[in-house]
Amino acid sequence: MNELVLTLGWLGIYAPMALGAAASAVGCSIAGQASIGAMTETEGGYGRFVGVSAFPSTMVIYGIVIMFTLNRDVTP
Amino acid sequence: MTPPPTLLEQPENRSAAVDLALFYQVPGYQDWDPSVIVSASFAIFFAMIVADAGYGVVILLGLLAFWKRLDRTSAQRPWRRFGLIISGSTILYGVMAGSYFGVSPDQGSIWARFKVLDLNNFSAMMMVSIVVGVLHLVLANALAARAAWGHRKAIANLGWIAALIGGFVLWLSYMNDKAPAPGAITMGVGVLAIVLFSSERVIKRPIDWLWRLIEGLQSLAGAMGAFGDVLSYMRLFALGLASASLAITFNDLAVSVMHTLKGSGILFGRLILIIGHVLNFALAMMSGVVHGLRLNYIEFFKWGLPDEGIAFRPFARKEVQE
Repeated sequence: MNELVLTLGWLGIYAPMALGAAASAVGCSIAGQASIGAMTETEGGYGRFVGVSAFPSTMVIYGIVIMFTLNRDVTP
Repeated sequence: MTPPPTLLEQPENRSAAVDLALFYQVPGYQDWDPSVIVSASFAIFFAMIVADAGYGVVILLGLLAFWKRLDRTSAQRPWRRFGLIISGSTILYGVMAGSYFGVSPDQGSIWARFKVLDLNNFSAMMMVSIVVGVLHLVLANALAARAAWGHRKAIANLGWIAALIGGFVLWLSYMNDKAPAPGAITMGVGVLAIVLFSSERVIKRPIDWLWRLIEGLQSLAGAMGAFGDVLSYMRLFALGLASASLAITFNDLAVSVMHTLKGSGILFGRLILIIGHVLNFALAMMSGVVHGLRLNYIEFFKWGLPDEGIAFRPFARKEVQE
């Protein structure tokens, strides 16, 4: 039983970071593809696409922050 | 009627800053010139994200190696100067954080005395990045208020400043178990100013007063955005910590390989060091540029320069190059 509780504790601490990273990867790929598609259609103003492509990385950054706030010794 | 086009006038040697300011969107005609502030805050953010003096030195050496070659056109020279500023600020912040290719200086050495920030002290670094965020957004609102001076909107911008500072003080008093009154009062005054002065509606009939109030309440929905925008500056610290810990991880890995494998360990250890640091350097550069710029463009421009203009193109005859 103790092992299960410990595992759940570690999961809880690191899940925000892991899930955030997965979400950011999916989001960045979608946004990046959309930006490249839009870039072929427009002239100039590419700076905005850089911003849009980097938008979804916010999830993993908040994940890191949450992970650090929760970070502590896990005791059963 | 389209508004007149915008031209940012800066001295020749600051044209890199102008390019940076126009990269995302052109400021509106009535607004202010963000180029100096955008480039200065980009240098600070980049330094905080890279957070390693060794990588700063690498940028500096790379710049010096291409120094002659970047002298050809008048467009390159300001960028060269800007690169110098960025590498300087990165080295300065790296020394303050006490990180040299992931190695921290020995206790008692001269370099250890310059170490004023501990990247592993989570709460202190969180405080630093939130202070940077609040200051940046306060600056954005102050400059927007100055540009709109005389309009009702300017007072709403001042209200946002009060709300931001009040919220920060409230958070501080919550963390330190102090009385919440000063922060709450400042925040309340700010919120009141936002509700009363956000709307630019002209009063023609008595019902317009009600509309003004409703529009003011609507703009208060931006409070959630303000909270998120301030928290967004946490990336400064999170990315800095990520690049620092990756460098430390590669160093530890290389050292342990060198110790366990006799003979070939020296080769493999050095390979790990070189590949690891090249990878980490590339990642740090990419995140430094992208996130350093997006904090300026998305958070700062949203509060300071909400209107978009069109770029000024001088009337000129151009040779068509075949």
